[in-house]
Amino acid sequence: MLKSYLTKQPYTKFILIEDTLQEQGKQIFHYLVKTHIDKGQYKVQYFVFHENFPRLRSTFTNTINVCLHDLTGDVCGWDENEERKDFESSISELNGGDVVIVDSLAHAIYQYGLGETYRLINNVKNQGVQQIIALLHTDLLKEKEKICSLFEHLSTLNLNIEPKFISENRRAQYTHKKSGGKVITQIEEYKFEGTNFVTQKIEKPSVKKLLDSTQMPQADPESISTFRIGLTDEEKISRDQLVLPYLPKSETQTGKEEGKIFYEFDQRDDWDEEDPDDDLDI
Amino acid sequence: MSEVILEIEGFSGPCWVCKRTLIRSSGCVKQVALAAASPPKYHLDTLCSLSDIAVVTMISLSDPRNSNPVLSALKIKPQDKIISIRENLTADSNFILTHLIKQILYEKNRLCLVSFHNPVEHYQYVGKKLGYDLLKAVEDNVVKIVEPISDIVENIGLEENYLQEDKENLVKCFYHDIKRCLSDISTEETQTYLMVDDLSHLLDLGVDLSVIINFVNYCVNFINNDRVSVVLNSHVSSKIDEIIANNLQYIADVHIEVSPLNTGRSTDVTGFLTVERSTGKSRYHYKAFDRGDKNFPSR
Repeated sequence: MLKSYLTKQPYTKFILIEDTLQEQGKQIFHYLVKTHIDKGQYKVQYFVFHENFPRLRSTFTNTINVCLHDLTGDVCGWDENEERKDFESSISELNGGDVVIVDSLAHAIYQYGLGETYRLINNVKNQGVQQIIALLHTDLLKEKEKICSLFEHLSTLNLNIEPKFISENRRAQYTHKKSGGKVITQIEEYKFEGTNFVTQKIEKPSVKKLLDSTQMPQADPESISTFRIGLTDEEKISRDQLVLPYLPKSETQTGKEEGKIFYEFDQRDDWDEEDPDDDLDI
Repeated sequence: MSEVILEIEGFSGPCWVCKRTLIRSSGCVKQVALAAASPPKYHLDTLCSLSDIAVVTMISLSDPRNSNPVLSALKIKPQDKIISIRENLTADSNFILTHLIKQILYEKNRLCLVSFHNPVEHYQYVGKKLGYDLLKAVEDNVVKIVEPISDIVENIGLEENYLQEDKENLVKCFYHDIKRCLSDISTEETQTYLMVDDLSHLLDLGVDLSVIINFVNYCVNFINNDRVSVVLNSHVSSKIDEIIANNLQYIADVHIEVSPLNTGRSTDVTGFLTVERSTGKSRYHYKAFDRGDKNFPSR
């Protein structure tokens, strides 16, 4: 369902992708940009706040429906570059047939401040553009919860990239506010098969499979130690054949007769042949 | 006899000198050149005739990029335009910078070194141990050093330059100093490296995080000139430091991370080194010695 919410028309107004260095969302971000470029239906207005502009421009050399806006050059006016672009003046030239891409909302916040960035994105949203797609690196924010909650409120679909769990596929938790007012919150798994973006609901794992995966693998002592622990077959046979000298021998063994004691009674010995325990009633 | 190291792709076949049939996976093979042969003929342990070898690269043993364990692990090339170094907690990443200086001087490239953390005497002293003379390189106009530390000491009590109230103006002047140094030493034939050690000291001077982020933007924009690469070091011991380091890591071509051991100190291992590129991550344990460092792969 996630893929259809992201790519099907009518497009959801504002997609916010929240990621970190460990759980990066740029794969989905680039996929969405590429989808719009390949469709060619709307002009893509790509606002570059973080990546190196010439490098990014070289990846779009053969695309005609992309307009790149360099907002990394002379951001503070230190070079007194008169051709320096401003985000507000650039967005004032947008029209309804545009898709707006913002490669790093965090850097826009550092350049223009939180309030101003929120106002500008809100203006773009109300300007009637087809879609806004913005990437927000949450590990670059000082007040992460506050800023995320503000932009999540503004967005119509916000995507949080989650760590992998049990499966090899990545996870994304999203909240989609439909145009009818219904809000859907879901976690789905996703993967890229080449350029194809595949999403699927998370299946309930079988208990047996979970137990098998949680069992600790038997440690092989041979692989841990620096010396040989096990025995060869010959050594096992010779170990089995070894007779320990002080252990009791089995009754079936024929060996020497046990020693006997010969006692010669003295004249004074009073040896009673009767059993003294005869009168016991046992 | 001269000695060379040949780096080969995976190959199997008979050696044309000793006629043994051997199989060798890719790696370095030490060869011994037979004297007085022209063109040089090599007694090859595991290679067949030169025409059968897919790729053969002759590398000299005196090249520190191969012989030095730190540089051979980093594998910095001219295409690596943004190199970020992250120093975690109590680890010291200065050895990365000093080794990179060694490589830069060996390759006869240019360097603009911005040192917040150590005085130039430190780099000279370490350089002598590693086999280069930094001050001579400065005299030859191959290296330019920007040393804010000495300026800060001079300005104590004056509230000028690095101790001025307007921190954005401070960073702006700093940026223009760097830009001027880079333009002084850059040439069209050589690669110029801007090395900043380290960015987190701007926080210590009271500079706001947003100004530092924008300053990093300006530094990264230097690579718009194909002949310039930037090496930015940052120390991480707080949340704000982490933001600066993360910011670099997102756009770096090579991200180098130096960390202490999780379990404490050891006499055998100094710390943990990670080199991350878009192609993958390599992990090493390293041991710092008096005259260099050794590293060994870690699982």
